[in-house]
Amino acid sequence: MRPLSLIPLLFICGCTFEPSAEQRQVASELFQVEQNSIPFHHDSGARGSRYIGEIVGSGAGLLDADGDGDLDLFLINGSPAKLEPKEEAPRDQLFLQVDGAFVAAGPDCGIVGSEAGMGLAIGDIDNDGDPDLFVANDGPDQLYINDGKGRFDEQSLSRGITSDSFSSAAVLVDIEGDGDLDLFIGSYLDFDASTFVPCTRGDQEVYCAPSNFAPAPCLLLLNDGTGNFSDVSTSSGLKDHPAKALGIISIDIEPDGDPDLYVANDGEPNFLLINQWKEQGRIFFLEEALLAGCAYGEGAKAEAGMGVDAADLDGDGDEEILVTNLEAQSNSCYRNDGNGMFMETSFANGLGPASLPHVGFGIQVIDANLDGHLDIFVTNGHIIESIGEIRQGASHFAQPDQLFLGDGNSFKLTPYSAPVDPTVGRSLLRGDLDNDGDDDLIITRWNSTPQLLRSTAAGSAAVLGLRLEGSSDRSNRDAIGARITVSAGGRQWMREHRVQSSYLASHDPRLLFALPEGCTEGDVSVLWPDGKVENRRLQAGSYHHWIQGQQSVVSTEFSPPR
Amino acid sequence: MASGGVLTQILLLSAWLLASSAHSLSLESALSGISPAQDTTHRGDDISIREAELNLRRGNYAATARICRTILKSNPVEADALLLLGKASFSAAEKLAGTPPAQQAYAEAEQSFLRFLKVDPDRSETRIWQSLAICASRRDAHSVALQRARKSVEVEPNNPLALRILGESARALGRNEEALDSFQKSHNIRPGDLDVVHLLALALKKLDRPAAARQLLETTIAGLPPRSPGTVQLSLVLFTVHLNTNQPQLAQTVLEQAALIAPENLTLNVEMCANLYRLGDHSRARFYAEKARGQIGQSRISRAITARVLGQIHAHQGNHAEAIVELKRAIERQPDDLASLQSLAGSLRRSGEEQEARGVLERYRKIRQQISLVEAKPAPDLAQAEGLERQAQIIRALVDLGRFDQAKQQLSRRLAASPNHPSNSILQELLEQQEPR
Repeated sequence: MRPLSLIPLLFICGCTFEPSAEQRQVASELFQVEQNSIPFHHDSGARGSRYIGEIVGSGAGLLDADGDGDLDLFLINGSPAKLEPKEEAPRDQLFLQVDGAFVAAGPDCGIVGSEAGMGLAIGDIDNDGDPDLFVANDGPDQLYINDGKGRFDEQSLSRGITSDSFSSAAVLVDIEGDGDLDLFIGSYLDFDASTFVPCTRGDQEVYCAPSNFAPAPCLLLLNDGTGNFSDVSTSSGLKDHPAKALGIISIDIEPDGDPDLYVANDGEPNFLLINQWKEQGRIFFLEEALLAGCAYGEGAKAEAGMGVDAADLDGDGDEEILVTNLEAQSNSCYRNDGNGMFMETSFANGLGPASLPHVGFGIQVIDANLDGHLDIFVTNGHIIESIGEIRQGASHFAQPDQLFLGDGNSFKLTPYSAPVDPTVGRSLLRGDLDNDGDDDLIITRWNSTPQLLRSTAAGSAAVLGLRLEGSSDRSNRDAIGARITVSAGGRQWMREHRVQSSYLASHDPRLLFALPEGCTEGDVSVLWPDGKVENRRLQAGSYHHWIQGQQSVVSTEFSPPR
Repeated sequence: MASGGVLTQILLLSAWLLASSAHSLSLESALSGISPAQDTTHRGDDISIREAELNLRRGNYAATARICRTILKSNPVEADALLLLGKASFSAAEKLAGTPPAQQAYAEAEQSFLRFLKVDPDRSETRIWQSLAICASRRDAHSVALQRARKSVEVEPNNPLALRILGESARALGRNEEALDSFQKSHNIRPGDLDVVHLLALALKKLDRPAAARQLLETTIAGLPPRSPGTVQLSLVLFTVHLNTNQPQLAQTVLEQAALIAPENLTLNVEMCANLYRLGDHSRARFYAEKARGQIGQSRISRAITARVLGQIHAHQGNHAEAIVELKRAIERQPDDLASLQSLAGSLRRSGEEQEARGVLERYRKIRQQISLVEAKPAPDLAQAEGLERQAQIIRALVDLGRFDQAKQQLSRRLAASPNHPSNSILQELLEQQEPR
């Protein structure tokens, strides 16, 4: 691990906060599960065709679509290969949060998607101050431009987005540091329905494994600053690395100020695409996962990479990479040792053995119990409906989700709620839905309703909230790629700001930091994407809207704990 | 034991192999010089046959074979001589298993039994067909083995050994349902045969029926006397069943219990080391790796596993110099061990040996390609020139990967399919040069 030069911090914070015993939550009550609070039923499109896209979808995203200060929810649907007579194609759906409840937005919101949907990326694509929406489909992708009031206009073709292959995850990231968000689109695989033949396991017809299909290169679309895109996939070298991408994050590995990309591939080695913008002055990627030690798990076999996230789990100032995989493969934790070197540590740190029986999809690093140590939440669900029958109960289609509580060194599987039935989880989103200063979770479930896990942790610790806004001509407005360091009570946390991670997910763009017991404020340092650094001391208990270069922040107190 | 994965029923067949060979020819009658077969056998041959039979009983296979060959020179259709020669050759082959003369002995046994059945078809019996099945399987002619094993069951449907051999022959061909059915029948007839329990459990596991495998093993183990060696044998299978259902902790519990009975069991100690590493218990994994390393009888693979585990533990602890030594040791013993190569590259980079690390990763990539080549399906069609060319590449890749047994199997298939192909001798030479002596 890289040594971290900790500055003496103990003297900095006032020590007035003392949570009551009632406020301290035991792990088993960290979340309250709300099964039916989102009136949406996912339609995978499965009608017997057994097209692989049916079983791996679909994602979701959180955004403040109408600018009213609370998070709204966009949910993606699948689509059947062939509609029955009079059957309407399932549609993607925007839900606005109204008085704490999710209410389906009407047709005037402009969401028209009825493709076989996969993932999405949310960000200010046209740089006008509101979140726009890109939806990745097995079929034509869609770009929805927001008018700031929650009304969207689909403008993919007019803005240069013409991809109609099998897209999966997508991330918005400023690849060449010109102050706007470019679009990296993962390609799942090359699927041709006209030649497709279903697979079998034993005497059961099942979805084919990805090894039955050819990989396909990911795409990079460059933003001209106004939300119009040009495709640079070939010149950037991506065509040389055909993928089976399901999970993607931006992460500045080196860190040299230009974002790199990590791609979790399904059944193929994962990619670490090192951005050569700073080194070569051109948009080009070198694929270096094998050299870096994050292409394969410790067994050196290609795994079924699904979801991905990154966070500084060991507090050494750089981010580990986490990948969910198929059952029997264990989820991976690639420890970042600095200098572009990773070591897979899931079996050493307690994540591995407990993940072996499950097919992991969404993954998110959060501080679930607000103890200042990062925890890991994983949603699981198999990809073979009849697996229980096939394996005589040794595997199940519906599987329990898992919370691994961290102590800074290792992780322990811990109950997170009252007992809940296993489900077939796919995407996992993080966001403070009730603005009370803790991260709630939403899990999309295959052919079912989403599940809301409302955190009960708020109030048990002092928490500092941030909303960052870049404002120079070289810092994107969403501040994607900014590196935030918070110091309090002798401890320090570093986070690279990203909004897309997990599995086909786009999260709350705000950040939360739980401070050590007794601290009520923290010293916050932001390294903006343009390389400039700003420092502030900020109080816990509020979201601070920090606009780059401005003298002060606008603070909004957390709502009462819910 | 059955865990070797090949037909190993010689112990069960041995009673028959050493028993009277001439039809209804008892020891007493042999000694008295009266033979019921005297109508068809020369008197001098009778004496020789009795002598051969006595030698067989004493385990003097060479002498038995010599006598029978002499008889057969003058009387090539002497049935008892053919049968005795088959038995002697087969016994010798099993004793010599793994050496080149064994193949010759199997071939002579096979020819003798087949000629015997032609000469005296009325004396067809299950154990001859069982032996013939084993002979065929020893030369990887699994389809032939399966036919013969089926014949042995046809002759005696409730013979547990015949059913077991049928199961093993079917398993070798990937006919897992037939294998399971045969093992199950064999087990039903002779439930105390732990080798069959072992094989049946593996068949259930293979067919995605781990719950049934677990139940079979746990029930059988519960019925065994305390501290029985059979408990250790079956516990090792139960361990793999738990691993197969992704329960390494449960698997560990089984190993721990077996270790109380057989703390010096090498296989158990190697598995213990690998599983404890899987569970993140590095100090105990290291203990068992070092314990196994100090034991005699280690295979190349078990040495590679312990070295890899020790290397990876060192790497996790940041002791990269020690990690490099162990991981190189693992690779030396198992050249296609990708996990060791990957870890070695990581430790070399962390030690500042960037160029060597890149070289290791180049080797890693090459090995991965070779593994893809040898595992690609379908298998090459050796009746076609293209298939023979692809198979030659596979043999070269297998030699590079250090998988010499598989290379030999491929080569023997090649020689059978196309004995005069010009590249055969080159491949044979390559194999001889590269295989460690």
